[in-house]
Amino acid sequence: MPSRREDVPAPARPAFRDVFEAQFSYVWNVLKRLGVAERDLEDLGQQVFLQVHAQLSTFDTHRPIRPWLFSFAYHAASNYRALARHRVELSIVAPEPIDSKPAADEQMITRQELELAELALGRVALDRRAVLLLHEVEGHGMPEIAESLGIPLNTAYSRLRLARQEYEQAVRRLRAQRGET
Amino acid sequence: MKPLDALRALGTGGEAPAPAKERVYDALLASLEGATAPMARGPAANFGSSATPPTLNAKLWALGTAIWVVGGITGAFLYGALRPPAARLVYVERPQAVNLPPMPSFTAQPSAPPQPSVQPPHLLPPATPSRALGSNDASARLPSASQLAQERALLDLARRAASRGEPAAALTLAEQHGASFPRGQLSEEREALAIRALLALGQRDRARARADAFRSRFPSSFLGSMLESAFANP
Repeated sequence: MPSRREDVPAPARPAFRDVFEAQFSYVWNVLKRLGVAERDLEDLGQQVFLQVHAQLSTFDTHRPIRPWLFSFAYHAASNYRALARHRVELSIVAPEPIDSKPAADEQMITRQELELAELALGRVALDRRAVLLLHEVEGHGMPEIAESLGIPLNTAYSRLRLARQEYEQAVRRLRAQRGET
Repeated sequence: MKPLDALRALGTGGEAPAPAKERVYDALLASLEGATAPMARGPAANFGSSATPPTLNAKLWALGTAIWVVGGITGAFLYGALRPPAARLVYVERPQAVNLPPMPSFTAQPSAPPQPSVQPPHLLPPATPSRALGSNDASARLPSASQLAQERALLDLARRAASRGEPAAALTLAEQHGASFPRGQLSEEREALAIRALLALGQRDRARARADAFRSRFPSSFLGSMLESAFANP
């Protein structure tokens, strides 16, 4: 039984075309959640996949591909937001006041909660948001996240803790704005 | 529902818009076909291999630089030896404003073969022999910048029509390009647009015949695999 993953035969390296077909939507949504404006998603998507194409030969196929792709998207989004013209304050439009009485339709409540979650996610600092997305939404382990983002494991855990705090704080504020208890 | 539960329920999101995906891929082809040097290593350079520590020291930098230089020289030599024939331009997605007549109204006529409309004479460049794909005739003049702009503008219109769900209009515009620029620099992209429009119109046999001709004419085209996907996923 192989004791290290390096001893396990590596899966075949995927072709770039297949990676693009399978993961474009994932990268698109990651860029959106990392604060890239709708009008710039195509440009940033192209940048990300150019990087992917250039470095696909170095990808360790023992690893899951999405954290690896996420790191390209994260750096593209970081550089994008560093530009002053893209540094838009999170002027999230206050949602329409929603009837705070419980809705009879369970699905409506769930949709509201999901919308709230998206809004609150947008209020978490980018570097922490990245860890939060990879861990809470995508379910990747912290060692994989730390390796993909190129940060120490302790830093990753610290960012996760702070991200959770910021996120829950944002949820509380948004609920207060909506008049929910 | 607890806040983190809602966050976990978000998932990785839905499908990206198909037209955006196509445009990004076309733009990638343009960038990759124009590249003659190894891709510059960007900020994510550290994340390609789990065997490389996240932080690079001076020795790794020197080794990486040496590999890049050697790779660049080798790549340039191989490119010179194996360069594809002709200065083949690939369409990029940013449309440029070019004065064209107003787009005629189109009605879907899936059973009638599309007829190329006649271009007003003043919009067509004087007969300029464009370089035929595959030709190494150095004496053939490259098309003028204005002709390329007109080609691009026509295909932009076709692409937008396709994005709006108007494949008949897209096909007519593609055929118009074919009539106006039979050996235009963007013939490859025109053919791919026309094939996708035929598929959208349900003319699968015509699309397949045209795709076979596409493969013969452009055997190494990046668009080939995307067209095959279009046939596989109607």
